[in-house]
Amino acid sequence: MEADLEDRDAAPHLQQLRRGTVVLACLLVLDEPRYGYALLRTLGDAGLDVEANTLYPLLRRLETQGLLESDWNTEESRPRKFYRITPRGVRVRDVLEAERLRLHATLSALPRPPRHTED
Amino acid sequence: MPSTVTTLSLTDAYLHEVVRRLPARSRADVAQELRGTLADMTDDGVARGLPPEEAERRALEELGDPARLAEDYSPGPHHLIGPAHYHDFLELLRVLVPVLAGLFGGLTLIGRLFEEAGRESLAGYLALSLVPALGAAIQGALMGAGIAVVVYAVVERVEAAEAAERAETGAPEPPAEEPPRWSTAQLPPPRPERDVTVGELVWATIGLSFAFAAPFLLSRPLAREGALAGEPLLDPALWMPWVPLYLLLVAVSWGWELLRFFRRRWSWGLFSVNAVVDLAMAALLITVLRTESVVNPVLRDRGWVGEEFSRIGVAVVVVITVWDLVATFLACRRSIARRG
Repeated sequence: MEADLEDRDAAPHLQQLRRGTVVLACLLVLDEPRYGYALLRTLGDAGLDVEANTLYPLLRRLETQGLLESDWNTEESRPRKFYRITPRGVRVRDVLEAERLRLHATLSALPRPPRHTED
Repeated sequence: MPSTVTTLSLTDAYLHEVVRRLPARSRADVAQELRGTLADMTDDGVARGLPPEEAERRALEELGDPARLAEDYSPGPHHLIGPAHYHDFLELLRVLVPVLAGLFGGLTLIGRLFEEAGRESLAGYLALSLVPALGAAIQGALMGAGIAVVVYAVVERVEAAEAAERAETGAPEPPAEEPPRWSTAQLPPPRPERDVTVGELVWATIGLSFAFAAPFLLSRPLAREGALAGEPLLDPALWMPWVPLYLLLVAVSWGWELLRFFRRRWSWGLFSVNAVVDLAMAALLITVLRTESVVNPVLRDRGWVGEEFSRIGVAVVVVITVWDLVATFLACRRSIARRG
């Protein structure tokens, strides 16, 4: 019960915190062409729970921004749209990755008063 | 295989609901991609032992509300007027609605008052004038609101389209997508405040038009038949020289309203001119009321208008004049005090 309540308080903030990381995750993985559902499973297996209805619109936005490019593969029985990172996407990915590392380091190094644990 | 048919049609219905909300050029592509995904998700469900229809249904429900999904695909202004323009929109609304309502209503009323229709009875005459005028005023108000909405809805969309174009053609630039920093240079030059709004000028104009039209309206015959046929309400002997003088004063009052509007702020000079015009009008009306019959003597002979008419008339003139003097004095003092 206690944990449930805490989750509800944290949920909107967790969502905010994770939002930007999905973009970075996609850019990190898409050196190798992948289609949407495969990418969804790759991220899910790695422990990043991304909703399909978040991922597909996101992929399309990254494509219009020129960070990803796509190709339809119609050789298989089911036509699939494969996404791959572009040189521009690589530059953005490097910037984001550097920022993630910097943020991690900065947040860990923040001066904090000794913590009170509530029982 | 009847089950395949039903699941297919469910998917088709879902995709249609998503795609119809998207720009035409991306529809086929999005539909094909989502169709493939749904098929993969359904296959996974079947592999976990679900019946195909159930697996399909779960896949669709995982993608969720088609309207939300479509919104995620094409984020754009899905509102008529956004916060960036809301305030300007309200300002335009505040000007257009009273101005157009007043203009439409006033013009219709004046037009109707000079018409012959319904002259048989006073009630009919007033009803036939006031009701269409009210209708026209409502029409004017709606038209004003409509114009304001359309103007800012169009501005909103044009700006969104331009922003989207900039985002798409911004390819050669480095990926930094910083919006231009706001600087104080973008601040519009300060506008001198005004005490008088356009709406007030319009209302004053309408009121003074009626004051101007009054002697002409009152000189029209009350009835076409009966004992009073052809007799107006106003004493025909009153016209010279009083009515031209009165009309002149009304015209001067309107000139003063214009002056006040273009000066923007109250001043004691403005107040004094108004006081002089007010007093001149009061002197004229009181003189007329005390020395002339004003109402057609025919009506006095019938006992319809008694001796108290002129006393009540004078009292009304005095009250209105004093009220206007006090009101303009207070408004002037307040405005000057606010400016420090």
